[in-house]
Amino acid sequence: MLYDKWWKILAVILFIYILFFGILIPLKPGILNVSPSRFNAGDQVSVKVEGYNSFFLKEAELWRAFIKIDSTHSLQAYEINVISDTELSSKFNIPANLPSNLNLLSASFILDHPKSGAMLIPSKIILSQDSINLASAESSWLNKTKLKLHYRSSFEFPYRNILYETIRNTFYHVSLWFAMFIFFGFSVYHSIKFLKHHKIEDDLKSNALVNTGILFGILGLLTGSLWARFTWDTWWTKDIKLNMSALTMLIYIAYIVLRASIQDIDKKRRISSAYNIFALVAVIPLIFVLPRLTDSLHPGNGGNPAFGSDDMDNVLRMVFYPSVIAFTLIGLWIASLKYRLDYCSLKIEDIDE
Amino acid sequence: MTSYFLLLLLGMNWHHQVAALIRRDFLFEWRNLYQIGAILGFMLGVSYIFYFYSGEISARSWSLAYWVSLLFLSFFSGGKIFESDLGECRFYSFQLINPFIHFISKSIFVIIELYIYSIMLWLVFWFLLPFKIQFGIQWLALLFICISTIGLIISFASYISMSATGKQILISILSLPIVFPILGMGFVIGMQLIEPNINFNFIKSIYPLLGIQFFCMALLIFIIPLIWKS
Repeated sequence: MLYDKWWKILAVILFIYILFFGILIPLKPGILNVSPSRFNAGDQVSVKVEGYNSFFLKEAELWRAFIKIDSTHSLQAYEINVISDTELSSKFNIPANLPSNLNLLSASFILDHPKSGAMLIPSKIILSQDSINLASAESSWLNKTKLKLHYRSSFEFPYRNILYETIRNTFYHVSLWFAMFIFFGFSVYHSIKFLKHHKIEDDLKSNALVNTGILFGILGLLTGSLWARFTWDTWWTKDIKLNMSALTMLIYIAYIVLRASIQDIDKKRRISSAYNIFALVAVIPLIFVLPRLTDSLHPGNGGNPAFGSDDMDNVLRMVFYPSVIAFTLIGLWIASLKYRLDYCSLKIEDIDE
Repeated sequence: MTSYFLLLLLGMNWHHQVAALIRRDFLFEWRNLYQIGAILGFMLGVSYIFYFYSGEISARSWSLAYWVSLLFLSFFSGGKIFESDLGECRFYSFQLINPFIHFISKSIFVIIELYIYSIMLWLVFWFLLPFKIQFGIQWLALLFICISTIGLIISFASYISMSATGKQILISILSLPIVFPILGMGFVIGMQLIEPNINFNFIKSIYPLLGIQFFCMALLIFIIPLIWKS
C-alpha cells in the first residue's frame, strides 16, 4: 500500500523542505542604499552606505569601497568609517575629469571585504563633469589592479536589488508556472489518447489536469501580482509576459465554458479534447515567443537572461528544483482526486440509469 | 490521417467543391441583404460616435477605434457562418460534403467577407474621421494578414461552438484571448503606418504575424479532422 503512495509522501517531504529552507536560509549581505548619489567631477565627497544583513563592525578596518564606471575604470575610497553593523561612510576624491565623452555618467557602488565578500548596487551613482579631458581622466580612473574583489562562499540566497527577501517567491511563483505547464502538457497527452482510443478515462484525466493547471495558473498570477507589488510597486503592469499569462488563463477558462456549453456528452469530450490541443499550442507563442520579441520586465524575455548566474545561484537551485517537483507532485495528487471524483460520479450516473 | 490528406489532395476535385460552397455562402449573404445593411449601419454608428465624441483624434485613438470596431465585426460575421448549415442545409452540409472541405470553404468565406468589411470600415472612418495613412499598400497587406488569422480562429471557434448552447457568447469567449495578440500587433503596426518613425521596418514587423498565421493554419489542419472523426 505504501509502495503506491511513495510519490505522495515525496511530495509532502519536498513541500516541507521548500517551506523550511525557502524561508529560513538567510540572504547574503548587500547594499540597501547609498546617499548622496550624485556628484560632480573634482568634488570631495562622503558617501553614506546602508547595508542589509551586513556586519560592518566585524573586522571593520578591512572594508574597501569603490565607485566603478566600467571594467577598467574605478575609484577607491581613501577613508572608511564604520558607524554600525548596517551603516558606514566612505570618502572619495572624485577626479577633475571622467573617462568618458559624456557629461553625465552612471556608475556602480561596490563594497568589499575578505570575509563578507563583495556587495554591489548597480548604476546608483551619477557623475557629472563640465569639461572633457580623456587623457587626464585615464590616469586617475584606470586602476584595474586594485579592484580584486572577494567572493563569499556560504549557504545563503543571493541578495538582489529590488527583490530583497521576495527572491524566495521564486520557489512558489515560478514553480507554480512550471507545474502548470507540465499539467497542460499531460492533459494534451490524454486528449490525444482520447481522440485516438475513445476511452472515457482519458478524457476525465485530461479534464482533471486542465482544472488543476488552471488552479495553479491562478495561484501563479496571484503570487506574481504580489511580487510585482513589492518589486515594481504595482499590482499589475503592461508587461507583455504578465498579460500573455492572463490570456493563457482566459484560453483555459474558455475550455471550461466550452465543456459546460455542450450537452451531448460524446461531442463534449471530442470537441473539448481537440480544443485542449489547440489551446496548448496557441499558448506556446503567447508565453514563449511574443515576450522575447519585445521589452519585458521578466527574466528570460526581451533580452534578459533567465536562470543564468544573474538570477539564480546554486543555493537557490537547491530549493527551486525540489519546489518544481513538489508542486508538480501535489498538483498530480489534486488532479488524481478530481479524476477519481469525476469517475465515481460517472459510475453512479450509470447505475442510476 | 496522412491517407486522408493524400485522398483529399490527389483523389478529389476539392477546390471545385470549396469554390461552390463559397459561392453558395455569398448567395445566401446576398439574399439576406438586411444583414449587410445591419453591419454597414454598425460601422456608421460606431464611427459617428467616435466622430461626435472624440474631438481632436490622435493616431493612437484612431487605430484603437478601428481595430476594436473590426473585432466586433469579426464576431458578427464569424458568429453566424454555420447558422444556415444547421437549418435547411443540414443534410447537405453534414452528410454529403467532407467536413474538412466544409471548414476550409467557411474559413475562406469569412476571410473574404471580413476583408471587404475592413475596407468598408476604413472608407467609413476615412469619411468621418479623416486620418491619412502614409503607406496604403502596406496597410492593406497588414489588414489581410490580420484578418486571415482572425478569420481562421473565429471559423474554428464557430465550428466547435455549433452544437453548444449560447453560441455567440461562446464564440467570443473562445476566440477573444487568441485574437487579442493579433489585434494588438495590428494596432501597433497600424499606428506606425499612420505616423511612421525612422526605425520602422514593415516587412520585419509582420514576421510574427505571419508566423502566427501559418502556425494557426498548420494547427487547424491537424485538429479539425479530429473533431468529427469517430
